Amino acid sequence: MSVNLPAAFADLQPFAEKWALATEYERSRARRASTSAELRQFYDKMMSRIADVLSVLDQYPLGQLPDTHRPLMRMALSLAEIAPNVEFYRLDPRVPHAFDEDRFLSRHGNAED
Amino acid sequence: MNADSHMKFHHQHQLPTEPIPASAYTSREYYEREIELIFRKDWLWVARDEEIPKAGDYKVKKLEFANTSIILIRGKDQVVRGFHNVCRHRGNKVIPELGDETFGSKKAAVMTCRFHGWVYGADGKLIEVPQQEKFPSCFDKGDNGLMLVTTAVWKGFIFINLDPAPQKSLPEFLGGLDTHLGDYPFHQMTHAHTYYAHLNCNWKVAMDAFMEGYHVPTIHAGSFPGLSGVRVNDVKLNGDHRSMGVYADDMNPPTPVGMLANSIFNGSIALEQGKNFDLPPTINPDRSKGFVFDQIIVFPNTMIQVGSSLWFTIQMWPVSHGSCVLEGRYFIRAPLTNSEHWAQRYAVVLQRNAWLEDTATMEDTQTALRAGVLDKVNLQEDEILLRHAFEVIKRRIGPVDFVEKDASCR
Repeated sequence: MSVNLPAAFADLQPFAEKWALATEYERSRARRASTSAELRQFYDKMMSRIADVLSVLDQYPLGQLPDTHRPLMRMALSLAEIAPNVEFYRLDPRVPHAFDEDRFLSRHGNAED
Repeated sequence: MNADSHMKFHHQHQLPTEPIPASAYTSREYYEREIELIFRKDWLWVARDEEIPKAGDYKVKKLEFANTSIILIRGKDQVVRGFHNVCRHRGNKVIPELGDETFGSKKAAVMTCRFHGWVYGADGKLIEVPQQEKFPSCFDKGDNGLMLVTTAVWKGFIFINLDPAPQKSLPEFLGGLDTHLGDYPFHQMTHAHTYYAHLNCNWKVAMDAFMEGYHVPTIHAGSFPGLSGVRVNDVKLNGDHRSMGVYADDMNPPTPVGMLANSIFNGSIALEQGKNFDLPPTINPDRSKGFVFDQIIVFPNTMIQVGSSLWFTIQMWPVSHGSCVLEGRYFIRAPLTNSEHWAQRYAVVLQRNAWLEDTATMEDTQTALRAGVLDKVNLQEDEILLRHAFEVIKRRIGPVDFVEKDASCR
């Protein structure tokens, strides 16, 4: 199923299919399945628009995002998911020197967003 | 051995400094004594008030070390009661379980066993038995309620005690911790993020990894590079419990996402925390700028870390002498806006990654101990809380010959 972003964010559209993911588990898996170059590209693009993204999302009350805007929130959360890898881990897609991420489970993260 | 002057905390609290023998982490006998004499006797934290806010809300907590599961259910009288999740008919689980923790709500605050339809109230009373007339005349519903487990609540923490006649009340058990935590506003930060992992290591190996600041500059060089100058202060030994204050000279370096997230919501221990309320005078007593959090270790298996805009807990649940379940929970004020939700998730991701770093060493440690490659564990002054934990357990379970023999400074 294709993901469509609001027209004002058409420049983020090429990343939507991969990163507009509903749960922490999916976002973590997408990160680990990425190359360093893919993380860098997504990070740079999202950082160029994150202020706009958050300001548009804040036009809606928490928990009442219209379906048209949910993918934007999910992409913002994917930015949060990969930020430490770009900013601290030298683009390693995994958490370096860490426990097996597949065995460290989030209970909240299996719920939407 | 000469008294080492740099081990002043140890001397002050009259704690030994010899290595801890590996057998304390690997012996089945030692483990079985811990379960019998500690985990089946002491108060254990199993739920938060906010997890089951309304009448009929329940949580089922699996306790593998005791081969049981406990139902915690809020009655119409708002009281939370604990019961073994065992039907009094033929032992079926009254509430089916989905994993280590199961949540749900019973509309009329009654529980119906799906095997033969026995119905219990949230007070545990057996209300209805289909075809009761076919049971012998000596069968009495009044004698066949759910089996009660003692519960008590402290600052919103719901504890259970598996001992049918607990030796101490919960306030007696907690002792000085109640004063130490004062009026810390746990109830203002109830937005929880939970992680868990099944680990192939003794529960104490996993506890030990969190009870000192010595590991921070190395283990957390990835996620908390700013916390390399971590200091431990305010060490307090409080009966079987203990606490310490964790301070750092610096926070994480400014990064684009980190700064943006923290400008929206102060939710990370590695970034400057907001001053959203006054800490009790016992926490960060000098009001030092570098305060990160105060760690309170509730014996035997609960660690509560309180900061100035967040708090988090880590628990280890024994499964066998060589395995346990880790549960980490991160609590912040519920977000008010979408951007706060985003900012909080950045903080939680960073914390999750730090916990992944903490957890990295545990199974390797257990392997080395079990193989006999490592026969003792040497501890330094700043690892005093591990030492205290070991000494309390030793006192509680009595001398174990082979462990005594192994403990010497060689």
